[in-house]
Amino acid sequence: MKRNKKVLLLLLIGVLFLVTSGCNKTATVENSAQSYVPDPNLNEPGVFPVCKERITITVGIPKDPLVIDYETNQYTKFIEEKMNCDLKFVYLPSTVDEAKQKVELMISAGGQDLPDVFINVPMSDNTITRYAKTGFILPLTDYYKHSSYYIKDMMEKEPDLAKMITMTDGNIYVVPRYMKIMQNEFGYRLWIYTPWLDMLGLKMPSNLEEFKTILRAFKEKDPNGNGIADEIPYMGATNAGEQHFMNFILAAYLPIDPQSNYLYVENGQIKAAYMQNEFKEGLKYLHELCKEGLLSPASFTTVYEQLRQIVQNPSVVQVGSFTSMAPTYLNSSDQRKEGYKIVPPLTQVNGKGYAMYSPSIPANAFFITKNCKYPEAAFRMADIMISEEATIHSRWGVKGVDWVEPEEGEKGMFDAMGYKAKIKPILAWGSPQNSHWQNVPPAYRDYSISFGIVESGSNLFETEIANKLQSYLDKKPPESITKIIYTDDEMDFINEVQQNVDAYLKDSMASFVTGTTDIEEGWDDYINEMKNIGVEDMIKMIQNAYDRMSNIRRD
Amino acid sequence: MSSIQRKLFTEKVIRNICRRWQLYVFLLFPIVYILIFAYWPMFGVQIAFRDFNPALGIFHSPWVGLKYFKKFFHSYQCARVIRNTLIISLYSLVARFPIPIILAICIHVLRNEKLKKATQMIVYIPHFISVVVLVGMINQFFNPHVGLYGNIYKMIFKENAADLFAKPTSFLHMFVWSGIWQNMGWDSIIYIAALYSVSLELHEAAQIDGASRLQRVFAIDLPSIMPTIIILLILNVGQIMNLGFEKIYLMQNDINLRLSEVISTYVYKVGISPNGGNYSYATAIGLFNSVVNFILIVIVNKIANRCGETSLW
Repeated sequence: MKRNKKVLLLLLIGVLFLVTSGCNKTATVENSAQSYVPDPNLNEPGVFPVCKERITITVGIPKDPLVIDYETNQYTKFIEEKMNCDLKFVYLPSTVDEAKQKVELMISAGGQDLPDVFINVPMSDNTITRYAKTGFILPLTDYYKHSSYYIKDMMEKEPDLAKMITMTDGNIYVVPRYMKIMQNEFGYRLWIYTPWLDMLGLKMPSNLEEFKTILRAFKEKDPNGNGIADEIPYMGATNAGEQHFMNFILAAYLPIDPQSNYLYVENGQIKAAYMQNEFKEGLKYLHELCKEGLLSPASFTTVYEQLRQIVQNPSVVQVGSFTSMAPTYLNSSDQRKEGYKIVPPLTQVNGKGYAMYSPSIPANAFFITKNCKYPEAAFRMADIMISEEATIHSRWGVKGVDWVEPEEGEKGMFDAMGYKAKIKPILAWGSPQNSHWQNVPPAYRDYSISFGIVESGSNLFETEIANKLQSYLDKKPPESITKIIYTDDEMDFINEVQQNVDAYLKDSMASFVTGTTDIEEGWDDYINEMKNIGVEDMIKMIQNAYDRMSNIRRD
Repeated sequence: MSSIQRKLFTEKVIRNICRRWQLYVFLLFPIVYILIFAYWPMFGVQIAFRDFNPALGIFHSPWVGLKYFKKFFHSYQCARVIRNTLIISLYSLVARFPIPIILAICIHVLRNEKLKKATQMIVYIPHFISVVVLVGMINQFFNPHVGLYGNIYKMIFKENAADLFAKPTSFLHMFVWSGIWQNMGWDSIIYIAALYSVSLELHEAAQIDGASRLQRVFAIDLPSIMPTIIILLILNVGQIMNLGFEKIYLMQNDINLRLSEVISTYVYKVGISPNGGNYSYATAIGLFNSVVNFILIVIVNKIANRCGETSLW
């Protein structure tokens, strides 16, 4: 007989905790108020190796299947040499959510098993503060002040960064991975199968009406020529980059940024996109697409692996257009990879419209736990990782082997935008290797690094992305939200409301677009329900926090 | 009882235990199991009334009284998850309960022993398919573009099939009927066993009196297995608020979320999912759920006791 497993599981966790901590009842909440005392084993910042005597640091990291062996990895060796330390690894599950859950369970079990540091477990600010409050992770503020070398450099170059990683208690708990990559800021792109356009004598669409005409032609004129109306003019999926099929269209009506939970700024005022009339217009347009059979309703229920199967359908081209960061799953032998091209951001007929834009924000890539015996040394390790040398190593591998400096006359892909070539990759991305950590440690890139890649011709989509980037940049919204830091109370409230908003919003968008609920009749109820959930109070609170941050910035 | 009587009684018990100690050794394991996995964890339920903080532990986190219960009842999700839980379980119960009984009787009525065994085998094998695989199968089979359903439709009508998942209610039917398909064979085993124990003499007597096979089913088979049916019904009702978590969680998508968010999935989301982390809140909801279950099982047991003189205790 099945009992309530969930409760049982929770209780089991409780018991585990009892068992492991029964003998250690005085779990202390550590205080950050202690004054800074430098670790005598360390050399001055900027002098390498960092440690005078060799130490060992354990690193908790999600195990990427593409890294052959972390222990013997070239990047590991590079860090160990610079640090004069040994790295030991505690492996976490490779998917982000499972890794976070694993850490959550380690901590709720009392934290005895925590490694010294975690890398690439991108906890939210909320979670970080929760762990910090209970003393499981250590404040790094003093080290930022007294013990940083490359980090100091980065903080000077990026004056806004400090505000984005300082919690409202005034402490910094993480070392970020801050990568400014414009290709990713405009990461969600619409891809269209251009051979069909050519065959039907149509142009690349620039506004929503043209787009609709094209989709109709895809549906009705049998462009794949197999006599069956099996074309899917436009499709998305429920996860990965493919899930933004609605957002891409909605951006023609108002600024859309999923990273900031659909909030945007207009003249300093925070607004929620999903409360606006423009949003309703956008949903109406999507509903028309859905009703005419141009947007497949399966988009709401299909996971991206399935969509990819359909795009890859070996016997026939089926999908006319879809959203994705890049359809890299179309392998090199597939003719279609040259057929799918990026559509510039669509506008309304009157020419108004934005590109979907999510500014680069620092990821919480590195934090030190209470079990770490040499927190300052661990911090210095992160400091080394922030250097440009380490940043490039962690993505492209060993200099001279996995990548080389470009020769005279070799142009970068973004040459037209005025960026010089910096890196000519040799090692292919995405295959098993032992040279780097797949781009996950703390790192800092300004735009020039990602823009300085030499075109090697091997990655077709990269070239296409480079060619179209300017058209996206032209439609960038005038203002955008990077990151807002909240106080604990704000966070508690916002979190709870946001969770409900997310669930209700997803559900409502799906039912408006598929037509389960009539949008004209249902809109008022929808807005009222949103107000019931507490959206207005939440926006007010966010506005406060946003003003607070912009004031700090001006000071 | 006087002290002498009590002493005699105790001695008798001890003597009995000593004489049949092997039986008690067998009993030991289930008892230890239940103590460790059912009773001991119950101490943890107290975190529903505390502000659980892993650094302080279960016994040292501050008390907050009914805070988390109030929070649940005031939350926007409360009515919705309770309603969904009830709808799905009642639908499952009503649709699912009679089918194994009918199946068991059908199998029992078959004359050919080999056919009987083969049928039984074939219908209960799906029970061993894991939930993850089952949900994967549902998604694949009914996908309008790549699935079996989509491809057959395309072959016949020369156009894309309508999306079965596009309606929120389709989730309900798929959930319930795939469950029935998967478990009817397994659930019927207990009835088949009960049917075997029906006395042959009754059947012979009825046959002599000229009763047809169908009449015998209603007059002999069904009444004989009625106690089994009632006990299972009570057990099933007791589980009304306990929907299998995994299958619903796996079948959730944006379209059906308004019908598919149930108590157990909600507990998971606020509790141990990476974006949750609110153990006290999750425990409070879980505890509320268990209390409702407990009340239900007591009520149904009382009713069954009154009407049919069959009950769990």
